[in-house]
Amino acid sequence: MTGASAAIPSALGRRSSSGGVLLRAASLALYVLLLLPLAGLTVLAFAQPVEGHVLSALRLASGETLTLLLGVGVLSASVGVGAAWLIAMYRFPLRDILAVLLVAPLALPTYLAAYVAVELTDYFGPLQSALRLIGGYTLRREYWFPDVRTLPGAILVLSLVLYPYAYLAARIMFERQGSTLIQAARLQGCTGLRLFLRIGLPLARPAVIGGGVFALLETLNDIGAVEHLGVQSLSLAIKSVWLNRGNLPGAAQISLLCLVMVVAILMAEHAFRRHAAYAGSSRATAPLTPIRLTGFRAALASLACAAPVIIGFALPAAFLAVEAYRMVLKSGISPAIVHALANSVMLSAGAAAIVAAVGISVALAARLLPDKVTTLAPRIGAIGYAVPGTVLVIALLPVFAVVDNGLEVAGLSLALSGGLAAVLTAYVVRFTGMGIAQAEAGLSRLSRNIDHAARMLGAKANRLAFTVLMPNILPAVGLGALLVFVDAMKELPATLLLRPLNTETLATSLYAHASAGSFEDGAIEGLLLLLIGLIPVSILARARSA
Amino acid sequence: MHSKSLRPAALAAALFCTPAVAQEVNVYTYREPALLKPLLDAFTAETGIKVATIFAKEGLEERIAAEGTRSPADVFMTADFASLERARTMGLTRQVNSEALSRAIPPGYRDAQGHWYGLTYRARVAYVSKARVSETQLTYEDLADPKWKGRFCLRSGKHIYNNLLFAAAIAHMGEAKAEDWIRGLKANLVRKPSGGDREVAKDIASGACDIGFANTYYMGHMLNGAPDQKPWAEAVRVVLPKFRNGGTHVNLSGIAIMKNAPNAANAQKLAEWLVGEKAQALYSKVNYEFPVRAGVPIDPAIAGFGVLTPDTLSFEAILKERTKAADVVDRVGFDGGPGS
Repeated sequence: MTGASAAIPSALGRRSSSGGVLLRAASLALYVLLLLPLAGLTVLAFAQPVEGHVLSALRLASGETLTLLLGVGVLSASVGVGAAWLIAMYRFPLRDILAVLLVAPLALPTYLAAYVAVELTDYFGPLQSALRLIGGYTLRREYWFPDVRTLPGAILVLSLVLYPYAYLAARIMFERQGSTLIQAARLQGCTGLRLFLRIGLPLARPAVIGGGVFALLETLNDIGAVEHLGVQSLSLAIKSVWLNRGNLPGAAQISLLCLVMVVAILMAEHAFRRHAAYAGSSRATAPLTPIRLTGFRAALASLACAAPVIIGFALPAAFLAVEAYRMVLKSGISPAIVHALANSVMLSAGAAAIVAAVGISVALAARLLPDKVTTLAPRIGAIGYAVPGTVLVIALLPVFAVVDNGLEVAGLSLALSGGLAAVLTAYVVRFTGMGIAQAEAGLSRLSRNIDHAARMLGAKANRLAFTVLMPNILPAVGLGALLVFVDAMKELPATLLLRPLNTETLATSLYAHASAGSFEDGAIEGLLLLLIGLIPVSILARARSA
Repeated sequence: MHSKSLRPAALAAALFCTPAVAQEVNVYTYREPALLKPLLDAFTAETGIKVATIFAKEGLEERIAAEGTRSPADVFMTADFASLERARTMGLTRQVNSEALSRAIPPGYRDAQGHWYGLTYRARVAYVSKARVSETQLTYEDLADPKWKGRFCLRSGKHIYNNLLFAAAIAHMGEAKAEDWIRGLKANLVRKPSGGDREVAKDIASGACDIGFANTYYMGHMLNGAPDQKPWAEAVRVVLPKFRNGGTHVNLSGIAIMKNAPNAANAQKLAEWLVGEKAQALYSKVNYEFPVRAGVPIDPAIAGFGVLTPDTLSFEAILKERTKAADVVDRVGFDGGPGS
């Protein structure tokens, strides 16, 4: 976008700023929400100087952490974009159901994926047992079998549950914005792999980066999977600095450094994206006409899309189903599980709704009322994602205490700490980046000409926002809300540490079993997490095909 | 949900913590709910005192501190003595003088000032292959011997179980000798540290390794829990190692009553009930732990390991070396695995 055309909406925005109080207020509220834990974290980090062991912990963990991030980034993007391309461009057997199920692995918490992967692939698991039976082996050293408790194993396991971020983003790119370009290239005889490399990949770049960032942040935050699989991760180093060395400020220092790096990457990505004008025209884009594959090629496409679904979803689901069946036979379905399910759904739905509202308001404010405050707001949205979960919660605790002191002074016998509101607040802080990113992505697909036309006709910012733009970005925002729902269902650190007494969710209940050393006893909860996750996933898919 | 019930007051009550609704005793715990539930249910059945719990893995001290005088926490139950001592040094605990507690718990297993009390202990022992290891007596120091090269397996050296074991080693041998020992252990590793304590048994059963450190209670769980884990435990024999100049490393689970406890009297009743004979036996039966109270029957699953001689090193002495233990683990690159 050129400077001249950018000046128009901002000039218009200023003129009608009186109408945008609501939007601007939402941006400011976001600052308060996100900067408070950041302030908490900063106070904590500066409580003492950086000690030598903090630096050596960083140095020791940085190598494998970076390899892990790079590996998960490349592999999850490859799987996600590859599958998205096949689904968008071709018709083949099982294509419609695979299009839905390709999102399903997202519902599996990373640590559960790691535990299940180990159970399925180790010596006593069904795969090696079958191999021994077929090959007539008895000992492990008589045959070769890949070991999942390794760094490459961790990359594979994490990629197979985190690729859906890139998949969803890339599919939208191919099917919506890119369709005209793809059709044109096809008409000029560019097809197959050449079309993918020359048109598909460049088109997918922002989607890969945007979706990939969330996959990488989840990776950076994971502690259960990497510890089980034996990766020397930054998250484990932070925990060791905090608890083994009793140096909470040191843990905050590493977290703050992570945060600075993540924000820098996001800023760079944003600057990068601005140079490439991806915003489509205001004209309706031509829908893609998929090519029907037959024979060997159709089978190959089905297989390629089925593989991540089978490994990332079907196998873990089958494993959990068997274990859940065993648990039901043993002790039935306790009312506690029903309560946990209700709590999970209620909290996640609440978080999704709030995050969607925040996302819409902040993205609209940045577009319609651009000034320093509103345009920076979307950029800080990822703060919550970029700090390790437990550290974020520890930083939030003193903030809640301040609020509660205020409530007490005001004579209200209510406290944020120890209530569900605290959990919800943490969810919003954590996931708001996703809501904003999706709302922004939706807006970026709407030409600025729409704004100009509406303004010419006298629409004020609020009216333009709520009657013209918002209906158009609701699908994108809905996507964000559903992703937040799935993420909140499996969220652990904040739920675990902030929830009220006698309150469990599916994730905390499952984790309690896992930390007792036998996650199989939480199989019912794990299976429910996966199945509930399928509901938003199928809604997503239906919205796509509509 | 009835829409009429969703009045503002009801919504506020659902979202916020209302201190007026006091539970009869509120437990903040690092111990898993499945383990505590049979105990707490029995307590409620006997005393009529209802118990509310919240379980987490870390950060509860910070939560209690942030809640301050409003905290509903009455007791803090942990799986290790480090967290109890941490809560005490953060000023979260209160001094409790109880005849029942002091009589049931030996002096080394409770805070001298009465800020926390141990309830059970477990030992960090050697799981060895029944088929491939003949030794029936071992010192911890022995495991650094090159004869175990490529035969030893362990979870992350950063995990608290190993951190405390290594801290105890430093307290016994001094930092330099302990570092040599840990370096020797690392050289003997068959693979990069990963998994949990049960994976030691599993790796022994699969033939991947012959020996490793793990906690006692997992044996009971594997033998009597999920049927697929039984073969792991059956491939393993437990040897109770000792430090050359000491005993077997043990960790203590325990309880502390909070300074701002709204139900302090009930909290003390709970603590005293938990060291009673019934509760102590239940601990051993449900989680295969060693009761702190003398003369309580121990579950056969752990009684068969032989006579446990707990290390005489004080818990305070071990805690002092935790940071050094973490330093050594980083310095020798323990988690990088053999050859790193």
